[in-house]
Amino acid sequence: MKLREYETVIVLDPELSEAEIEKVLSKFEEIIKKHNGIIKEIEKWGIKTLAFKVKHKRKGYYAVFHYYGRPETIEEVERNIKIDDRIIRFLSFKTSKKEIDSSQIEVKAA
Amino acid sequence: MTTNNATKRKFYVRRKFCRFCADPSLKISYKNVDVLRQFITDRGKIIPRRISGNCARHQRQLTLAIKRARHLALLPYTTIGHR
Repeated sequence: MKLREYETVIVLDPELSEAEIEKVLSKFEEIIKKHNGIIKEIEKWGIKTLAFKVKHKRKGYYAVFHYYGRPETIEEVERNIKIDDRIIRFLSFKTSKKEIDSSQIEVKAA
Repeated sequence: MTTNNATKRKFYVRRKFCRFCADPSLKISYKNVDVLRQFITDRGKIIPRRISGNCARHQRQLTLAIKRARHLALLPYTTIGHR
């Protein structure tokens, strides 16, 4: 299967407990995996001060998902992000224009 | 004499160059907020190429990175009305 490389940044409510943050992150990890995605890396930046208020909050917990997926994968991820009100901001984009075959990625990860 | 000096100074222009071409290790990314901050004014506006001296390619990448960073509240859209 041909996959593309994507990156999704989510900004979480800073008032969430550590366990809740983990829960959100693993939830999206599951969603990516379930829709033909392969996770490359999850970056956790921690709580940062926002440049302006978002949903009346001055701070946010930043996390970045690096993954390979199909267009349907990202669609499903974004749909779930919009439903989840613990996420105050998000941004997804392609990081590479090239399509990679899924068999090649498995080799790279191993 | 003094007027002569003044005109001389007026014609002296420091050569602008693209900082990203000069230093390939300088990465343009929405994550690299400290670098992006050098290319916005204190009001949050993107500094034009004609002032910063960036090349077209890097300026294009830079504006995209700044706009991504703004959406994620890493950089301000404006500083007016901030407390």
